Amino acid sequence: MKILDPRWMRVGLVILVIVGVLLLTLSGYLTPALDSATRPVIGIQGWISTRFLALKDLFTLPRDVASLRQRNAELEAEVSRLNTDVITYQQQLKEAQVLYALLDFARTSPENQYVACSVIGRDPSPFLQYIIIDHGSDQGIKFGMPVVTDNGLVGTVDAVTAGASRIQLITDPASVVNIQLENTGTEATITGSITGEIQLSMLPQDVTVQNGDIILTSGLGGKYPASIMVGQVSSVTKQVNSLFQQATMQPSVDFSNLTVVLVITNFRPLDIVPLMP
Amino acid sequence: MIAILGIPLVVLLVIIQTTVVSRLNISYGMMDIVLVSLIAVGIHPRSKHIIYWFLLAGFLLAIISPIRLMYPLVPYALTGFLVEYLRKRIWRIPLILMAILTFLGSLISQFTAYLTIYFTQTALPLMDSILQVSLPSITLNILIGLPIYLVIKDWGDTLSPQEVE
Repeated sequence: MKILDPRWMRVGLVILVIVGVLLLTLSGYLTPALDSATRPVIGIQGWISTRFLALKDLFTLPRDVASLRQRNAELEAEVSRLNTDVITYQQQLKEAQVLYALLDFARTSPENQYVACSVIGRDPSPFLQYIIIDHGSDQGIKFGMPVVTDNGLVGTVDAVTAGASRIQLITDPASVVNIQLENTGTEATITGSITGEIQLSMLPQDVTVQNGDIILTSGLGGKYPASIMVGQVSSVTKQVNSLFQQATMQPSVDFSNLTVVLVITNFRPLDIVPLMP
Repeated sequence: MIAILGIPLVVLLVIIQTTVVSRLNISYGMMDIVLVSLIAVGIHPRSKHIIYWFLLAGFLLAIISPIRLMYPLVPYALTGFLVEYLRKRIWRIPLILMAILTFLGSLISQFTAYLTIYFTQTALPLMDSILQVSLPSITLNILIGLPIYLVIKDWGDTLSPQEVE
């Protein structure tokens, strides 16, 4: 019979052995034996691979270091540029916030015309409280015009050149402003000092003044428009045998951080000195 | 060379004084970087015609200041004459000279400012003016004097090297 031919018998035997080994492998009986057989191979493969990669790095790394250094320099330059941009944007945002606040303030008093000016300097003498702004007669600034911020009264224009003006702050020792208390309507005056502290004077004894009372300009004397915020009463001293009460006030404007101010250009200050007896 | 650079240097110092230094107060005192720098220039052995520098600075500050004529032209001129007078007498100890001149110059400046404001604008309280303004200002000027002297000396030596015979 052909089926009992030894050649076919060998083929069948080989197929049986292969199928048997496959079945044993799939069923997991050969796993320990395979592990034992493949472990040295994997070890050798890993050893060769590590050496090959090290050898490859030896030849390719210098080029990578150069490119990485170049890339690092580019990124550092980019970071530096972005940092500069961030600082610029923060400054612009701050300026925009100040200008928005000034714009809001200007909208609350539409009868006034304003010119916004940057503060570019302060007086070199420590005894005086003056600032210098970057607008002058070329921009319509004139002597005596009141100066404000969104927080309140700053001072008055004291001297003008073509491109700059000097502002006397209300904290200056020689500055006197006529004011009124918002609650009672009582009129008084405020005077600056060398320490920047502002004193209220000419306050009648019979008026009740409390800490926190709002102080506005009264408009008397024609130097400032009426009803501009000046500050709040911070302390009151009342002596029985004195003609007037003494008080100090906290200005609503932070004079140490003035950056932008508004000059009221349509206000004409009055000079009442010739009328004084 | 130093004389040529005098005008822009004085203008730059005045700008720095009004824009930067005048915003940096300690107590209520303020350093006078123009005065101290000019004193440092004045005691440099090879500086010349320093009185004109002082007059120029005093004139520029007088334009800016609301109390003209007297202040700061007069104290600057007086300090300039003092520098010219003293530097020929105690030139061997420049640091002491710097401290003395800074003290005297600041004192003259503060005194003149006080008197001018007192008689032309408002009666300032004397003790407050001395304790709160003048003393801190003079102290600041003396403190800033040493580093400014060193910078100006180095700068002067570079621009006007000593001739070797």
